[in-house]
Amino acid sequence: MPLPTLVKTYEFDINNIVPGVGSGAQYDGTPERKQMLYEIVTAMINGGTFTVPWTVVGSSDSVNSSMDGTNRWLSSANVVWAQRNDTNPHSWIVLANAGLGIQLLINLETNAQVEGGAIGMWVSKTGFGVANGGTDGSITVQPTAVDQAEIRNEFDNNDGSWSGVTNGTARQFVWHIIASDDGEVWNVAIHHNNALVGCWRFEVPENYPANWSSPLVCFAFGHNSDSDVDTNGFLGMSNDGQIAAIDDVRRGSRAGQSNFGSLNNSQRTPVRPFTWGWGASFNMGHGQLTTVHPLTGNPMLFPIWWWTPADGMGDGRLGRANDLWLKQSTVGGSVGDTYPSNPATPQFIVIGSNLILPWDGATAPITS
Amino acid sequence: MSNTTPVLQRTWQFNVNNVVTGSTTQPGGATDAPGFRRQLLIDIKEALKGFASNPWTVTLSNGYNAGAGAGDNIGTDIDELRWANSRSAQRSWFVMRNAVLGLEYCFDCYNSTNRDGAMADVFVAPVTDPFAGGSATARPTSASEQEILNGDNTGNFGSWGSGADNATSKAYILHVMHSSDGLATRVVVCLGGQAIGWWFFEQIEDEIGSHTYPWVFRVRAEALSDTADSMLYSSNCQGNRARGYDNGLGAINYYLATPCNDWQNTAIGNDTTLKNPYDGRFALPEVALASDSTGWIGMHGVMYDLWYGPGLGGAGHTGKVYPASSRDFIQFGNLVLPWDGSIPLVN
Repeated sequence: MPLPTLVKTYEFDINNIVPGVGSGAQYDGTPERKQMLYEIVTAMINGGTFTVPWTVVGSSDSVNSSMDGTNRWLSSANVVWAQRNDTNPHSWIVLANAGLGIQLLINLETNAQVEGGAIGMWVSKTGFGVANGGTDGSITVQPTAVDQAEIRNEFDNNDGSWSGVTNGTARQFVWHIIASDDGEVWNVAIHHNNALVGCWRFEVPENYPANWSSPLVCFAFGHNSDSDVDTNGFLGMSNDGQIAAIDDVRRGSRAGQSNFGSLNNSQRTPVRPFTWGWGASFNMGHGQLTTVHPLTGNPMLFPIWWWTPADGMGDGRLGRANDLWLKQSTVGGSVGDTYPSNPATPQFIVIGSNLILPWDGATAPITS
Repeated sequence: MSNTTPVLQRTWQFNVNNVVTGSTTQPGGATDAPGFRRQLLIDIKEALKGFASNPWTVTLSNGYNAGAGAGDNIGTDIDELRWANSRSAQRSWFVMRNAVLGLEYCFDCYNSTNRDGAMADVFVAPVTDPFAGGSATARPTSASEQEILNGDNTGNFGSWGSGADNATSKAYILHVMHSSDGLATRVVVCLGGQAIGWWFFEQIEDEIGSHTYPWVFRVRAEALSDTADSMLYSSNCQGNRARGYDNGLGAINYYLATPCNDWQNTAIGNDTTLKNPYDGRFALPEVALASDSTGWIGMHGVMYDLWYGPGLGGAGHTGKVYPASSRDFIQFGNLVLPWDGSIPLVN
């Protein structure tokens, strides 16, 4: 299999190590989780690294809040989780990205003592705040948007997990951001001990259908585990409930699928990843191939298309994932390995056990 | 995956909507083919020969009465086409060549006893080592030949797509399509609204790896049946339903792969009963080629101008055309092919 040709040009902020410290206050995050989230958000808004960075629409540092465009997350001390009850001050931040055409809300409340292990995330096309028909929030209440779609549920240890097991055990993390220079593709990858424990992706799909005025597919995966989220199958296609899209074709409310049992958002379109399959029950494909390609001698990489099921909010294809591939499960290296095999030119990285992303072509990855 | 009306990669020649009938007479008894079945095979042969650009040619043949030799000694006379139940008995055979693809196939009218000519032996070989020899009682051979249909196999790899092994009268609708560049040939045999016969000889496109013989082909039906659709997912994607060639590996099987969600065990088209809400279109996933043959495991390329269409509840939708006004594409079973704009006959 020849190495893929990229459809976009990428910018990188990679190999960022956050040393493990361990438990702090039980509802607030561990020091390393607070530090890591602060660093990731700071990097996302860094116009020095990214051509189309995110911008701050509003924020709360648990002391002050406003939707005034001010970034109040100036250090990890401003990244504060609190117990959910609408009276405990906590942090949140709303970011916007012109390339994606969306806003992203990160909210830090929790109903369990998970030491920052769960996070709330929403996306909106219309935008958060009173100016867009929603609410501005406060230090105790998150802002809202009329079309907000939840992609991470901070009140569920699995659906809210973003950085491994939701406890206060000391963990060293490594985070990476890989974003296209047009702002239309953003990847955030979080590793712990050579496992992909968190993965966010926001993109305008390649070749999305005409008349989709809000083309966006996004996910923010984690699992209440220190093992690779990909081995839990979110893109090994055993999970269809945690990928979202903005659906501007209203189909009314629908029952959430089991993976979203606690979520209730009528404007989220569950999305499934598809790739080439064949054989009985179409269950042969990347997961079953155990040898390199017989003619090329290389591992095989499989493209990903996004699809909404007939029983969902839409019916049909949403386009192709930009520069994201599935590799064979047992062939083609482990997390942190790169292609081609020449370590001096690492153009692609095994970011999760089955997932391949572009890499910067020069830097040896750190994933532990 | 195509997001809009597909853009053709080839220019196509069409010989479609041919109603094929004939007598039920079986000169050689129940092992031999009735007239309607012999007429079908002759019409397929003549259609392949008759295309204006890069037609197939008959290089060798044995007419039952006319004898064996170079060229087409069968012609359009069904009395020259006879089956036998012994590979050393007098019977008909013919070799057709596609010089552009660089391959030949040999159709040998052998089938086991009382199969009414519904089965046959078919072999392929490269033109670099063509079929040679042959007589009234023996087909020509090539040291590089590979079998792709077997006249003893009452399962999937024996029926050549003319329906059940009986002499009950049948009225076929024959459609033959051949690309102008000669690199793709397709034969669809319809009976009672089902695509019971499905042949193709094509070049593998967008190759993954370099293939000495970049071919994918099929000459077989889903079953010895008048009602089994040979162009469903089950017959193309879920079983070893097409063949490839590598002189040295023996038989290579190809699946016609489709984008699918293996957790849900569904292909996109098979999971679709509605049009996309954004562009108002059915999904038409492209077809890729994947093999599980030892020494050949993996994906090998795609087939141009071929897509999977909506499953619409799991049944085929033979005869549906897209768009309805211009009829640029037609669906047989679960597969969508280019069409010539005419109102299709399938029944």
